[in-house]
Amino acid sequence: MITSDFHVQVAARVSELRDLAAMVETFGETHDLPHRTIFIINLALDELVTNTLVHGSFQEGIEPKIVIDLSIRENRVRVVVESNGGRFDPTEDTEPDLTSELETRAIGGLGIHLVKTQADKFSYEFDNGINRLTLEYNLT
Amino acid sequence: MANNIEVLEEHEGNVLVLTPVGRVDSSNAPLFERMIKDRIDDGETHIVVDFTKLSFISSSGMRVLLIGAKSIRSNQGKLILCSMRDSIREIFSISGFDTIIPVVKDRVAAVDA
Repeated sequence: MITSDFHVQVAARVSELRDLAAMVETFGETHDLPHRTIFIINLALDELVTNTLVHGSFQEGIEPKIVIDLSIRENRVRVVVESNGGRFDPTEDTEPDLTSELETRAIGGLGIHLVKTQADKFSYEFDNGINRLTLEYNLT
Repeated sequence: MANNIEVLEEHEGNVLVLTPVGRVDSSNAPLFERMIKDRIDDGETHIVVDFTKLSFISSSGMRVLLIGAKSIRSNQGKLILCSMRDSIREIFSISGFDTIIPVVKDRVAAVDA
């Protein structure tokens, strides 16, 4: 059984995403994760962190905090993203426009759709002032 | 603070080939958006975005391509994408982008399109 954990707190800025991606890549390569799995985890983190920064309502006077945990248990990677903004549940997002012609295709809403589609599990809870998103990816 | 973006630019005849290098994510997508907008405003009507050197793109970067494709279409031009790796091709498919923005195998096909 493979057991491994990775824990990082990122500053609440999009410019931090590069460093985060590099850390996830190192973690993935160390544990021989498939390239696709590393890519979709990095994509999910980019989308969720960006979404939290854009839409999360961080209270004045409280420092925004985003904490990310990755763990591997047997044949599954679990990713947990916690943030301290106000209650914000992206799993409730409506489906984006995926079918209109180019001229009328609505712009936006794709990020969460990608995360939802590619994760084997995607759940949200709000607990004691913390938004917690949990994603799971099966390793086949 | 935004991150930089490196984009190689070449002309093949009247076709502008843009090759972004590395990542296009929410930290540098605004710069990429500005660049494509400027080229379209300059009168480019056939733009190829070559994905050969792109390892990662998020929905922020895809949004830029959708805006660019709409804008160039309204000038009777076209935006063609090529040389995507499988993981990127997959998200274009999930997003339904491959039905509205042409994605071809390689640069030769994109320039000829």
